[in-house]
Amino acid sequence: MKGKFTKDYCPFAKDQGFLSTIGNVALGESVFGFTITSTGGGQAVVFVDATAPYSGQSGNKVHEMKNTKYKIQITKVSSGSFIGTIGFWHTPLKTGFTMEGEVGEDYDIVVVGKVAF
Amino acid sequence: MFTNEMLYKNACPLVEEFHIRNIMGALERKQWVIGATVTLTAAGVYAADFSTITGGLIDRFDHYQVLAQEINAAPVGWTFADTKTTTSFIVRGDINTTACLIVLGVEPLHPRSTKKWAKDYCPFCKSQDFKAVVGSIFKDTVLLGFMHTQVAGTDTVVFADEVTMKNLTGDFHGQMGGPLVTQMADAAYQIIVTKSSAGAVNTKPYVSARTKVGFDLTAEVGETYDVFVLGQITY
Repeated sequence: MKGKFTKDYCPFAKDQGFLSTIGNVALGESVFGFTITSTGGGQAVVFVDATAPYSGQSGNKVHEMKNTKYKIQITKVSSGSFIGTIGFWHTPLKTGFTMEGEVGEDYDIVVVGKVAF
Repeated sequence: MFTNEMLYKNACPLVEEFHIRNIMGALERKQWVIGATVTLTAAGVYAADFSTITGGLIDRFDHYQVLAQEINAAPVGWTFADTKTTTSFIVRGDINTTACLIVLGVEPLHPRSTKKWAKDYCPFCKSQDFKAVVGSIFKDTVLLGFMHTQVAGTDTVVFADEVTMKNLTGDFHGQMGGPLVTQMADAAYQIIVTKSSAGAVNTKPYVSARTKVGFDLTAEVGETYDVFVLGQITY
């Protein structure tokens, strides 16, 4: 360790005011997240719809993942205790996945994987 | 195009300097990942504000996702978050329990901030199609994800067995096929688990007995679970 921070090496980190950056162990993975409202059992979540550009920005859509090896975490973020369904997911596709959640509740979803475009 | 880990070490000084093996890409500018381990009150709540979690470094996110999950004891209810504002949120769960929090947040951009992305500066990021990289408030912090298939009611999950290129990506991409994480720097890492196989959640999964080399996962036999770990790796 040379006592340096990421910003001392990386101009982008310096631009953004990052002292440090988050590392990874796998090659080429990115992290992204979005919030969706569950419509109930077997909801098809499509990345290109779920990751629509945020206000004032563009180009952050995820159309497709490079493979189906991505990992996902889900947390409910709307008020009210769980009635019965704990959020989980299955059936990964390059373009999206199937989510199970409680109808009408909001869920924060974070994905780590290789983004194709 | 870079083809192996040695080249990445040569291309990106961060990889060698900070023991992180690789860089985590991002799709937005000024995006951070922060984590905290907190204790819920006797009322089963924890009022989280970003300024406290980050020691005053970040007090506001423009938008963010929060992951929250109890550890150490079998959940009676289930952890969730609500009342999200740009500066805070509330975690709710079982009384007096310990919970891990991981937040993926984007700070407001300065009106005169540069329009450049990481890929505009960095051949490493460009080769991996990274638009940006993720900020961290600590040196050496890694966010890693892997999948585990539950064998018994409680499995002892060992990083050296689980965190390999084969498990992570299904191929080796020029890297060595051995374990990528043998040991964490300490046992204070944040960890979140979500079931990733079909069928209802019959057993609420939870993590206990975190050590440098692994942890115990209590979950349903035969089901698969995605695991996120946020912490410092030793090697």
